[in-house]
Amino acid sequence: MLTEHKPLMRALRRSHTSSSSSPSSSNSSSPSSSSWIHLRSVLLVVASSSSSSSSSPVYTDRGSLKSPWSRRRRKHALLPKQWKSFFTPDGKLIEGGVKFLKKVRSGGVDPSIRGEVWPFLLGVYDLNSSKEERDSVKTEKRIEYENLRKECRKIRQRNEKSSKSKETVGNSSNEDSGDFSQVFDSPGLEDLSSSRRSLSSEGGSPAAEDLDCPTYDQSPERSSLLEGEGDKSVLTCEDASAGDTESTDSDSSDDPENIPLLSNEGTEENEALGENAKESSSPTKTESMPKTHTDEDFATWQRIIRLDAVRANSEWVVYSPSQAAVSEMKARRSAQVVGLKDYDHLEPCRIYHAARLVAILEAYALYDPEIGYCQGMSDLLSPIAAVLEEDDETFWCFVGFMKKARHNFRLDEVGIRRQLSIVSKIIKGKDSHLYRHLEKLQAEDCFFVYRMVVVLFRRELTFEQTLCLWEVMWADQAAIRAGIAKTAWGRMRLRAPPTDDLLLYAIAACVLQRRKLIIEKYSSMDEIMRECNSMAGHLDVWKLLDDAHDLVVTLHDKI
Amino acid sequence: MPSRRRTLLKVIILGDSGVGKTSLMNQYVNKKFSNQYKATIGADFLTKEVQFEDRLFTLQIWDTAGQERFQSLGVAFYRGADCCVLVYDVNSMKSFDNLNNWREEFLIQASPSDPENFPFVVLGNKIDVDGGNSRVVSEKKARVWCNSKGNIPYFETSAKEGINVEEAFQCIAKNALKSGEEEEIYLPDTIDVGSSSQQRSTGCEC
Repeated sequence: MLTEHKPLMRALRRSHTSSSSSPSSSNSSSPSSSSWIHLRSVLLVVASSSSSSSSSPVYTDRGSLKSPWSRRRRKHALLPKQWKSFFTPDGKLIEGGVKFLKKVRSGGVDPSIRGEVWPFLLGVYDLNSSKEERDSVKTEKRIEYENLRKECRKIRQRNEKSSKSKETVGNSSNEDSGDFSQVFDSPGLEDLSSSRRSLSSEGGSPAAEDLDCPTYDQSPERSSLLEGEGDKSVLTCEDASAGDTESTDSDSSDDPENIPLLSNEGTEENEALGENAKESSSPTKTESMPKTHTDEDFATWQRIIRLDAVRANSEWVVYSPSQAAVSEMKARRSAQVVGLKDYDHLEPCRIYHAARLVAILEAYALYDPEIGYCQGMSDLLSPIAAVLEEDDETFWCFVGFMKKARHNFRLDEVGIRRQLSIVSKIIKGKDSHLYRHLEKLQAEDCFFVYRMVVVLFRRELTFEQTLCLWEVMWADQAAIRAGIAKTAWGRMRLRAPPTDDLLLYAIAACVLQRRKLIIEKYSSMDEIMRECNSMAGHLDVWKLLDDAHDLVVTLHDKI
Repeated sequence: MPSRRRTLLKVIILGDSGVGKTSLMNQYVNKKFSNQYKATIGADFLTKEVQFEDRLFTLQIWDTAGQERFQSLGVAFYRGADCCVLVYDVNSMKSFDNLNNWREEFLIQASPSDPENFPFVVLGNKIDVDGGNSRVVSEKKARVWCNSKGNIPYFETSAKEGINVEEAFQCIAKNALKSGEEEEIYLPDTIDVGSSSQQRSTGCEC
């Protein structure tokens, strides 16, 4: 047909095909004559009934394999006693951590020792390190983190100042457009100016005649033109809490965080910058680049980080009693320190959590400016912050996690595309029938698992399930990092070697578990995506790992 | 050729992070509001059946991620859209300024056959915040922009209070439907992409 060369035509035809052959799964299951139906509920019924029907085993040969997970229910997580027994007297892991990783790989980690174990899994501590070495790493890393935080505060203050400047000119009541920042630095005006900060920091407003092409030019002259009718309320508004937050913040801006933790407050800023430069491009560079561009990017990240932090879910609360019991005063104080806004609807423990997320994500954005902040990263950090109580440790564990996960967030999208294509290959290799069906629906690119890849099942699994899956995955990755994979694991004659891509096998497994439903019922990519986005609460993490393992066994040398 | 009746109308919601895209969709479809919707990753959709002039349609509403980084993947989700909803937060100038980018990005990625006349609807959301005192984008300013872009219909909404949400989506559905009817011209075997000059009435005041 002639339409082939036009993508839109194809897309239209797709919708037509899907709507005419089976006018969406819901319609076919529930023919209805009433006009205003909430199809979603119908869809959910379909989804849940189908997930139970599709739980009939896809893999019949599983029993014959030595899967570390198929017997999971008889295996335990790594327990405190055993964890202690893995160390030699000078505090080194026995056998370079092989036994340790093997244990975690098969059963996860007991919640009571996660905080101790994770830094090993996530590469903060070398598997061969002694207690002494770890102590010195810990101190170094703490200082490095503190310095990143200092730098974050500086940037925020600078941004605040520059937006204040713009305000001054913008409101044109102030004749002096020269050294306006001094005016607002005087304490008396602090409240007023800071209460307006957030408005102007939303970005330089284009002049009215530029409405057709909004611009990012932030020069004061420009914004001065447009303070029009809509803006007259600006001076008096902003809710009180936000005003409080910021003024308190700027009062305490010098050393507001973790004061008791850090004895060597005097560490030179520049030292820290030097350290950072080793691992990522240095914040010092930022200074020498055109200010407007880099600052604006960071300002955008800061805005979205805060937005996401206050909407982090509260599932972690029951697993982290000490953080759950944080006092309201401490919570609010920490929120003020990082300039959190709009949190009045949250209970103290969630305010506290949100403030920690902000501090750590901001520091990360500075540490890894190529990635900065991207939505989804707060989903990855939140469980780590729930398990680890100190910000610096949390940060470095997150850095370890992100070493691999960061590729999903790359601007050029190379990472995410690679991941999706591996999922596609796994499905193709395991189930050509399903793959052909996906091709027919133009869904073989596996975009429908996009969210699972980006936030590593965090949206589909419960808190506890997620941590189990991640621990198993981290153990595999740690084994590969340490070069254990080819030697020690080999001697153990495991059928499934550790893989860097266990997550992708698990994602493929979860699609394959629904093969029957997809082949028989779904006639568009949309429907498959809907299914994938509605899996929350329907997954068994150990079955998932079990199936993933089967896939690793059959396919690891072909992918 | 007998007129083929469309039953599925695809609508895409775009706009900066935190302007309330997910909330608007959920308020419209489920009549619920939460200030705890997590950031949308990639895209997701809800469907709702709507009746229009005695015909039933399934409105498929696609909620997208607000962070720019996901945009080029968005092409997979934009395909086949019948209407695009641009959302900004009346309390954030930047989210308003970005409407133009979102519009252009959509036109590039979805590459509709008749970009000049592709239906958009603009929603200025969060009018409830602080009793309207923290507002920085005036209605007039928004309307000026909408008019300059071919009389895009404009609504001021509050997903939280459910203000104007129903009305806005009625208009969205109506525009999607119109757009769909025009597309039908292309569906028969002979395709003449050039003849799509049929003017759609602009600025529906529905």
